[in-house]
Amino acid sequence: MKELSKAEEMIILAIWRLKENAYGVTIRRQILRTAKKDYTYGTLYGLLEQMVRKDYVERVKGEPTPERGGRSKTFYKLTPTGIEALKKAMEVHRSVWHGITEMTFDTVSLS
Amino acid sequence: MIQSNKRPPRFAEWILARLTRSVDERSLLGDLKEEFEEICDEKGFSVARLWYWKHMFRSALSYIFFHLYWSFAMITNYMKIALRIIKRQKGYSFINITGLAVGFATFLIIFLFIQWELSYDRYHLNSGCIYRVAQKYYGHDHAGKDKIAMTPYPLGKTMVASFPEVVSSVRIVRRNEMKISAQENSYFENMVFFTDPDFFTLFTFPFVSGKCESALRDPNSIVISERMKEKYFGSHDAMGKTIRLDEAFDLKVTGVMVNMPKNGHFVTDIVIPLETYRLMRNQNLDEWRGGSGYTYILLTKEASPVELEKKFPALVEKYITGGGRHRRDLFLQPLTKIHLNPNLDAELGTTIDVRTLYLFGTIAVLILFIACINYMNLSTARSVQRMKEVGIRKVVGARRQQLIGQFFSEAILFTLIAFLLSFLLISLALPIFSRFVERELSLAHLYHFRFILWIVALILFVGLLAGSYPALTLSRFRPICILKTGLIRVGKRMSLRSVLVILQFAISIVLIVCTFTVRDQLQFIQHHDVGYERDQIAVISIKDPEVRENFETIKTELKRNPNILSVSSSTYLPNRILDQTTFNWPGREEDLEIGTYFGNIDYDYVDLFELKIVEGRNISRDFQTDAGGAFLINETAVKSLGWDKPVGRELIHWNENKGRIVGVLKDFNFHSLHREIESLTLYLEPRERNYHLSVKIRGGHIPETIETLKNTMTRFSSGYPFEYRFFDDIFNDAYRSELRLEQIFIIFAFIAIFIACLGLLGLAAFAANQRTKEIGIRKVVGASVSSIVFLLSKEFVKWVLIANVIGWPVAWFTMKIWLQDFAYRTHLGPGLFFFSTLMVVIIALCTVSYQAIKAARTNPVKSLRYE
Repeated sequence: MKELSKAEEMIILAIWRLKENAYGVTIRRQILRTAKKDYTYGTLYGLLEQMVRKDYVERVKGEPTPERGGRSKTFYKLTPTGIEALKKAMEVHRSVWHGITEMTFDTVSLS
Repeated sequence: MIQSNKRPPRFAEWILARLTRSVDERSLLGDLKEEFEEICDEKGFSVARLWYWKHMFRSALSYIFFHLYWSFAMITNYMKIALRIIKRQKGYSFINITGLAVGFATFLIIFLFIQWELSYDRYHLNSGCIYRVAQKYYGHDHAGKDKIAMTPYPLGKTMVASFPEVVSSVRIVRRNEMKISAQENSYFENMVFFTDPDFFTLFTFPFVSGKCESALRDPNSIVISERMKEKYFGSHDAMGKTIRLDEAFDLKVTGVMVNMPKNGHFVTDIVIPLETYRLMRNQNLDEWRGGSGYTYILLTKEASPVELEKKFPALVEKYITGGGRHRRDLFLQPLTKIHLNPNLDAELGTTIDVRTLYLFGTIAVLILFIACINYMNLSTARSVQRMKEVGIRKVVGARRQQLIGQFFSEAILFTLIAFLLSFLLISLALPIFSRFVERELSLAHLYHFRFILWIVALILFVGLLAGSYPALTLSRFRPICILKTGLIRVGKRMSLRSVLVILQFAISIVLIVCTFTVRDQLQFIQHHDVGYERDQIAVISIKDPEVRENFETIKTELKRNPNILSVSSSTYLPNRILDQTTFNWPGREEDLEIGTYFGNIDYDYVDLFELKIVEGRNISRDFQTDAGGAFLINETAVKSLGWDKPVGRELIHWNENKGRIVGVLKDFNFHSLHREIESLTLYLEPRERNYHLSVKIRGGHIPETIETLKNTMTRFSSGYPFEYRFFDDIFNDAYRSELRLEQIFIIFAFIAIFIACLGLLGLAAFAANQRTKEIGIRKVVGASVSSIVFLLSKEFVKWVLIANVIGWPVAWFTMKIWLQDFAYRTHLGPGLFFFSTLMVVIIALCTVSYQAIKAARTNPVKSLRYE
C-alpha cells in the first residue's frame, strides 16, 4: 500500500474526528482549525475524489436541506482500507519522530 | 432563516457548475452556499459575495489543474504525433492542407461578398422604419419591368397628412450631367440629389462640418461630401463658399458630410434643396401626374407596413388615377431590401438578385464540402499506415474516446493550418474577386468580434466534419487483428469512400456543365442574327444642345473624311429602344390602344445599321414629303395593327406630327435577347431628342478616325468633354451579368475540379501503395505496364462515370431554369454533356494514371523483396 500524503492524512484524520458529520463544510473547517490550512472547495473535492478512487473513503448521500438551496450533502466515511492506512501512517510517524521533543531542537540550535 | 434575496452570485455558481463533475457538483455548490449564508449573517452580504468569488476563482484554478492537466498532456502528445506525420508524409499533408485551404478561401471570400450584399442600407439609425414607396402598373411595362421606383412629387406629404403612422417623408430627385463649378474647377457631375430639408434627419449621414438638421433649410444651400470638397476646394475649407450650378445658380456650402458608405442603395456626393430644383426648372411640385421623384417615408416603430399598404388603393383612386383607365398600385419597399430587388425600373443604384446570392452561397458550401470530403478520404486511406499506432495505443490502454479525441484534434490542427494558409490565398484573391463583382470587399470585415466567433465555430465545424469519419472508423479496429496481421481488410470501407469521391465529382460535373451552358448561351447571343450591324461603329453621346442645332453641318463635315462611311443621329441605338407610346391615326376608335416602342431617327439610320426593309422603302432625302413626317414600322407592329397594306397609311405622332408609313422593317431585336420582339415605330426627326451620334468607320483606320472625330466634335461643343464608345461594347453591356456568371462558373468549376483531383491523386497513390505486392506478382507473371495502368485506373474512371450520371440531371434542371430568362436561347443538347464528361474523365485519368504508371513501372524485385 502506498503511503498517505500529508494532505490525505489530514483529510482522513478530519473525517475520522468528525465521525457522522463529515461533509464538505465541516471537513474544510476542521482542517482550517487544526492545521491552519485554508483549502478551497475545488482542492478539497479534488483530493476527496482521488481518495474515493484509492478506496480510503466512501461517499454517503445525505438528504437535501432547505438551507443549502435544496442541494443534498455528501457525507464521507472511512473505509477499512482508510483506517488501515491511517494506522500505518501513525506508526511511521511514531518511529520517525521517536525520541524527538521540542527540547531536542533547542539544544541543537544552542550548540 | 431562508433569505431568498441573499443568494450567492449566479454567474460564479454557473461557472462552478460547468467546471465540476456531475457527481460533485450538487454537494460542492451546497457546501459553498451553506458557508456563504453563515458569512452573510455574520459579516454582511457584500463580504459574503467577495468570499464566494474568491472561492470560485481558486476552486476553478485547482479544478482546471486537476482535470485538464492530464488531458493537456495527451493533447500535446497528439499534436506532436500530428506534426511528425505532416513532416514525414509531406505529399499527403500538402494535398490535404491545400485542398482545405482552397476550400476555406473560396468559402470565406463568398461569405464576405454575401455579407456585404446583405449589409446594404443598414447603417441608418432608422433603417428598420424607413420605406420607399414604389408603383406597380398593370398591363403596361417598360422594357419588361412593370414596377417603377419613382412616384409623384406630392405623395409623401399627402401620406404624412393622411396616415398617422407615417412620421415624415423625403423626396429625392436625381439629375445627371449637372455642371458644377467652384473656384476655377468645373465638372459635370452625375447623381446630383435634390431633396427635402428632412433628408439628413431621416437618413443617417454624419457631417464633418455644418449642422445636418438645418443644412438644407435655405434654398440656396448645398451639402457636399468630403470627396467633392477635396475635388473642388482641395485642402481649403469649403464651408460658406459658393458653388455655381449649371452656370446659373449660386449656392452656398452649408455642410460637408462624410463620404456616403458604399453599401447604400444610393451614393451621392452632392445634395441640394428640392426648392432650388423647383426654381431652376420651374417645376410644379404639387402635380400628381408623371412622377420622377423617389419617395421615402419614416414609419413609427409600432406601425405595420402591411396594414399601411391596405390604405393605399383609396389614396391612389383619389389622387392619381381618379377614374382613369390605367390601374396601378403603390407598395412599400423596406429600405434594407431595396438593394436585393432588381425588378424595379428607374432604380437609383445597383441591385442584385437574391437568387444570385443563393447561388453563390450554395457554391461556397459545396466547395467547402468537397474539401472536407478530401480530408476524410485521404485520412482514411492513410489510416492503414497508422494501424500499428492505433493498435499499440489500444494495447497500452487508450480508450476508444481517447483515440477519437486524438483524430479529432489532429483534424482540427490540419484545419487550423489550412485556415491560416487560406488567409494568404484570400489576400491574394480578394482584390481580383472584388473587381470582378464590382464591390469593395476587404478582409477588414472579418476582423470583427462576431465574425471571429463565427470563424472559430467554422474551424471547429470543419475540423469535426472532416475528422469524423477517420475518428470513428479508425478507433474501432481491434488491436489483435491489426497487430497480428499488420493489415486490415479495406473492402467494405471502399464503398463509403467511393460514394464520397462520386459526390465530389458529381458537384464538379454540375459546375462544368453550367459553365459550358452559360458559355454556349453567350456564344449564341454573339452569333444570333439580331438584325442590325454592330461592328466598327463609334457612338458619341450628345449632351450639348448646341451640337444638336448644328447636326447637319457636323454630319457633312464628318462625311468628308474618306474613312467615315456613314453618320447618323438618333434617340436610341438599335439594341435598346426604350420610349413607349400608343399608335394613333386619323379615325382611330377612342378606346383602341395599341402600344409600341418608338424612337427618332434620321435619314442614314437604316443604312448605317443595315436594317432590312421588307415592304415599301427607306426614308429618303429624295422624297420631299418625308421631311414633313415619315414612319417606319416593324413586322410585329403590322401584325398588332392588323393592317393589310400598311405602307402609305397615315399615323399621328404625339397628337401633332402627322406622317405616312413609308416602309416596313424586318423585325430586329431592339431589346436584349431576354425578350421577344415587340412593336416598333421609327420616326424621322433628325434633331430633337437625338442623343446618339453613330459613326461607321472603315476597317483598319480606327485610331486616326477617332482623332478626327474628336477634333470635329470639340470644335462644335467646347464645354463638353469628348466621349465615345464602340457599339459592340454597348451591345455586350446588356449581357454583362451573364458574362460575369460565366467567369464565376469557370473559376468555381476550376476550384471544384482542382480539389476533387487532389483527392483523387491521394486516393490513387494509396491504392497503388496498397497493391504494391499484387502489382509485383502480376509483373513477374508477365503483365504489361499498360494492363496494370488499366487495372489501377479502371475503378476511378468508373466512379467518375457514375458521378456524371448523378450530375447530369441536376445540371440539366438548373440550366433549364436559367435559360428560361431568355426569349432566344441555345439548345441544351447532349453534346455539351458528353463533352463535359469527356473532359472530366480525361482530367481524372491524367491524375490517376500518373500514380498508376509510377506503380506499374516499379521493379517487381523491389516490391516483392520485403515480406
